[in-house]
Amino acid sequence: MLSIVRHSCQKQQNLLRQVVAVRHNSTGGARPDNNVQNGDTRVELIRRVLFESPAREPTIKLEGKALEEHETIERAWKLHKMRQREQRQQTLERQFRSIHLAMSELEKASDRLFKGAIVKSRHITYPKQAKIPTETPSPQGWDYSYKHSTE
Amino acid sequence: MFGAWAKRAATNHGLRSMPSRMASATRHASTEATQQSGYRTAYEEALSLIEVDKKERLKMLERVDKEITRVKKGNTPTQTAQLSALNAVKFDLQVKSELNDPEIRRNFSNGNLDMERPVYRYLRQKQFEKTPRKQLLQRVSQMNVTPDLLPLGLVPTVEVNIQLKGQEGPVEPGVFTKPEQVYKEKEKLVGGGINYSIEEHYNGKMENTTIEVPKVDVTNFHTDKRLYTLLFVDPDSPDVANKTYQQHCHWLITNVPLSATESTVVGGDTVLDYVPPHPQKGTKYHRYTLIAYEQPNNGSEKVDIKVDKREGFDAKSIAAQHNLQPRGVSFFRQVWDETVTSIYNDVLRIPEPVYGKPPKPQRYIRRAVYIQ
Repeated sequence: MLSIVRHSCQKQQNLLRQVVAVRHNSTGGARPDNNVQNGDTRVELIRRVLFESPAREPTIKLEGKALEEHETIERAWKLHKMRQREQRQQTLERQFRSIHLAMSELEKASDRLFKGAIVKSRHITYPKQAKIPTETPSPQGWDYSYKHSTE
Repeated sequence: MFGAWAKRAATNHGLRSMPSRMASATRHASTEATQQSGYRTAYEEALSLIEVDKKERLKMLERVDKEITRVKKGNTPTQTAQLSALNAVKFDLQVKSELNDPEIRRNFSNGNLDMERPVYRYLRQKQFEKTPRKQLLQRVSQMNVTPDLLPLGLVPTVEVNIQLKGQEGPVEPGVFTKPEQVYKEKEKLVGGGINYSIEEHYNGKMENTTIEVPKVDVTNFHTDKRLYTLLFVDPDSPDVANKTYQQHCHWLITNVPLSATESTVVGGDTVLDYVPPHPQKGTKYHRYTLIAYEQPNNGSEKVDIKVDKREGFDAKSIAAQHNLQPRGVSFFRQVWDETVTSIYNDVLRIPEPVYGKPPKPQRYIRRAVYIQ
């Protein structure tokens, strides 16, 4: 198994070495060199890398009971994610419905309060205690007893 | 480094063979090893989650069932729409509650399926839609069966499998078969007779030579019995008078009851008895197509088709005339063989026609001989 890995690594390394060689030998412009004198031309190299990559067998081949267990686990995981997603969606829908109902009632009750409830705060805020990132921690260490001023 | 890790994993689970060393090194451990430690494997967790999901769906199914009975009792204008929606939901719940069960998936992949259960029907349908149907549609359009015999944009909903004798699986659509294969496999004369009496001819010569129609299996996905019409037609029969090709009907049976559990073609009324395919000498290959039509009103109406002749057949017009909807198709190709001669001699009792190109008219008057 390791020998296969080493072999395929070598093939990739050979291609990479050719790329480096061509880069050193290349002319200034973007035009590929039509002469085959320097070895592989760049376009040919690109073609080889794209289309003539070595055929690889799948590294893991499961069979029988192990395959069945793997597939069951995969399905169960997808099922779990789906249930989570649907749960989140249901929660959001419930929240929206209750907010919508409340806002409809508010609209009927008071116009001023309704308009006030729709608008978001227009104040620009910035965190006062924002810490500038430093490369090293402070020589005093972390201040565990810090309490923010409430004004 | 990697080898050492794999080795450690392997020793944890006892001796394993080389190929599955990787498999055992994956995240889920064997159940015996972890039973003592009290931890559950990923597989056990998966099974319990599937079980939980199944219970929830079955509870939902009970509610849907109650709703269906309630809607059935009342008689509102929206009843049919409501019922169809509820039945769709019911089918969905029934399928999804069992779809993740490893036992069911294992049964399905082994071919051990019970078409009465919705899960298996669903899986079979998905399997049909994935591979065989795509290939069938490719072949059908490539070989021009669609414009000639079928409407454009036809999407088959049932799978037609022709089983020829001496062949292992069903006929792959579009492959070349040999005339003797099709001829020999129609060895037994089932029920209604063909006009020619071959038994007399073969008396004493061949013992089991009777003509058998192919075993056709129409895999469908509806539990109710619907009536189908099966038509076996050759669109490449030569028409000498018009210097073109015509359709030749080899077999036409109507009112065949088919359902998901009973998918073999048995019974039904024979309008035209089975004639084995006989591609004539000098013609190119013939496409022999078997089309399964669903009879009108969702297969509940009986149909009475009267056909006076086999030649000059028009599948599309017959289907339009009797309001038949094409649901499934399969076809194979054949080319002349020496067996066709024997079919003409023994079965059809007609002298074998040989076709060729018409003679070219002489354009220029030329001296045939050099005159000095």
